[in-house]
Amino acid sequence: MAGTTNIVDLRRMLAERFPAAHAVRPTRETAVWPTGVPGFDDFLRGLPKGEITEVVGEGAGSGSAQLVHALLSRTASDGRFLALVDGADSFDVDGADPAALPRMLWVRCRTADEALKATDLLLRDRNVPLVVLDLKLNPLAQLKKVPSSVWHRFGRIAEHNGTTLLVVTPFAMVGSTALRVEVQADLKVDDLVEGRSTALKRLRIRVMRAAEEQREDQAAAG
Amino acid sequence: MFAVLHVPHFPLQAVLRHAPELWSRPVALVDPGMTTPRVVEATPPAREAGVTDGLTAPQALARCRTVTIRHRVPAQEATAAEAMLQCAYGFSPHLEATGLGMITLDLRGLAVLKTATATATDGGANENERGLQAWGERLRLAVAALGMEARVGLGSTPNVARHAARWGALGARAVNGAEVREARSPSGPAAGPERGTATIANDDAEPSAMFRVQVVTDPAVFVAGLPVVALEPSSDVVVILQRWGIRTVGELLALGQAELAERLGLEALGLFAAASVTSSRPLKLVKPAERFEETHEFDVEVETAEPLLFLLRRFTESLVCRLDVFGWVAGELRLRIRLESGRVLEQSLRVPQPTRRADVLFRMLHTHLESLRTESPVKSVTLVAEPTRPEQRQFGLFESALRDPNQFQETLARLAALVGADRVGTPVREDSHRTDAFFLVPPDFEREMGIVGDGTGESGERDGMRPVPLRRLRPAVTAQVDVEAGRSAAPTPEGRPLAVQCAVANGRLVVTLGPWRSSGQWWEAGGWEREEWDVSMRGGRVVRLVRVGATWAVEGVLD
Repeated sequence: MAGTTNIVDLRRMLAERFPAAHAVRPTRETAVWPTGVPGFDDFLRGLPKGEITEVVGEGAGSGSAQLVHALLSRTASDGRFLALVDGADSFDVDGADPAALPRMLWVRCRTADEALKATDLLLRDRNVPLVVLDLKLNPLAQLKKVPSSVWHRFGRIAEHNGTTLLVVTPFAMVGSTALRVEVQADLKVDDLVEGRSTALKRLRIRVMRAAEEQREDQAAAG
Repeated sequence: MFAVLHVPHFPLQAVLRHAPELWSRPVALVDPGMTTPRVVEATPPAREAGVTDGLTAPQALARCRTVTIRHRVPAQEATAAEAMLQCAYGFSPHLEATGLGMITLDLRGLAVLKTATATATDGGANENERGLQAWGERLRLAVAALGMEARVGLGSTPNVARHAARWGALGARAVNGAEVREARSPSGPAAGPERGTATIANDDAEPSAMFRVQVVTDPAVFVAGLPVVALEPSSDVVVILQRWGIRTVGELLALGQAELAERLGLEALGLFAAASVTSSRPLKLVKPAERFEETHEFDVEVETAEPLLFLLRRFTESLVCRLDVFGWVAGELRLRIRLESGRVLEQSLRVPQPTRRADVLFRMLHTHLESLRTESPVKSVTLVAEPTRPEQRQFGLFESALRDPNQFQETLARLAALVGADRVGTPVREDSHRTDAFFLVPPDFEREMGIVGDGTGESGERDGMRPVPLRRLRPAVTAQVDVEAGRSAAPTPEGRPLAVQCAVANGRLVVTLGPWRSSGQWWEAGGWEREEWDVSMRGGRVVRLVRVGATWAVEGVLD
């Protein structure tokens, strides 16, 4: 009992002495960036701004490319722009929304290392509000070499500069991410005939990790 | 009232304006245009070491082993003269390029003069003088910002102003007069050695002795105190006058014009005209060219970026000063580098948000040079700033323009250095039916404003018309494909593919859609023809197979 009192006193004393450290932090209003994918936006409202979001698309036909294209279209339709750091130079220009292409800065990288350096430059630039780092097709050997400290650094820069970073990966690899979702679509050859709307509707979102605010939003939505 | 802006030792100052540290070292300027190249200018340390005008370079080296020989460069002199003129234009629109390193400004009608005159009528003669001195000091400092040390003389006639700029307070001191006031720059170095007599042949004192503004309030006294050489007589006449014991203009004028003309001939009339303090003349007005260029030729070729960057920093600062006079900003920078091999590298750098900020302009150049590799050393460098009016822009409420366009341009340059200039930009589809035909252009988010489409994410073409995006494999992965009629190497490769074998897809095909045949430009040399198949493999992997001739390849993956 005496020990409890001492701890309470100690806490009170510390709170008096360092009020800033003990102040109640205001709840951050979760600003989001709509993706244009109905399943994603309905469920999570969009990408959290100023944070890293990881989209894991395991295997072929996961729909991660569809998500990137939908995000580009939605961003352009909102009058905004984004940068796509293409880790393996796999962006399909023919399949992209023609009206959205002028709203995109495309960095065609050869390796994951190049892509990370380019992302670093763009995050520090503060001009581009949304950076998409697509590592889906990069070889496993390259991705395994990415140090985890890179993601911590990106997270800090993104938070400081208010830049939203979306990382598309073939497996969960981003350590300090606010939101990690897995996309699955099981796209079939028939979807090529049906059109992109059908392909987008097949996208299924599964949240693997979410910040507290996202969980609350998620609970409210579902 | 007139003002004369005088840059003494102009050829030397033009060469050393971007390397002021050389003023403290022995440097001799040799004119390569002479039949026998000789020293025409030298820094004070070089003169102290015995280097004089007229020596050849080996003779100068014999007198001073550490002397640096620099060559007179007409292009640099022209650039410096242009910069001077532009600078002076900011102070008066009525200019005359009087001579090498000398500009005469007509101050009549200028606000500065009106203010000074009004002050004078109020009884503040000293205030009037101080106002003119302050004005002259501003002019001198503006020229100093261009890397040149100048003298400013203000007088009632162009002739008096010219004498004031060239000879400063010497005339007044020689007659022990206090009518002429001098204003030394507060930031300028200490005064040089005093000129002892009035028989100094020219104004070759070191720059430290020139940093002054001279306002002549009593022209007659001032001119009378000048040495006779200020009137630029011929050498024969100088000898004669010295024999007569005539040392100052006052002593010369006391002889009388008619009497002197009787003895010296027509030249005497010229001397009296040069000493006149009342006669004026119309100026031959010039307007400076709106060209902002700085150039430098290296005596020793440069192999690293550091000296180049050092020089470019000076260039940008100088250009910014010149642009400032006109109220313009730099819209584009053109960098021209001439290599020792004779090759000229030219690069235009568009300034996304035209600016006069030297650090922003320099950063652009710095980023460009970081990725520049040359096969031989650099011989000369030229930087041109294309002027433009400052952009006036009203931002919209919902626009998402770039926060800092110049920073963005720099980032683009860094990205280009990282992945290659042809791999960064905004894609534009070529006007062709060929698959994956596009090129990249620099992004222009500032102009591409506004909302496209209906805000739902679907815009432009109808959704049904647009193909489902794939993940492209660049370059396409060559595959071995079994077709109905046999292997692809078989004489009839047109059959339906049955199985594929390559690095990204391996196995029998479950579903095959196709063929989708296309061709183009068959009427010219670059004609193409291809056949596409969308195929699904066991396990659900969907790839796009392409056949060009007898070669199969996997071009994309559905994801």
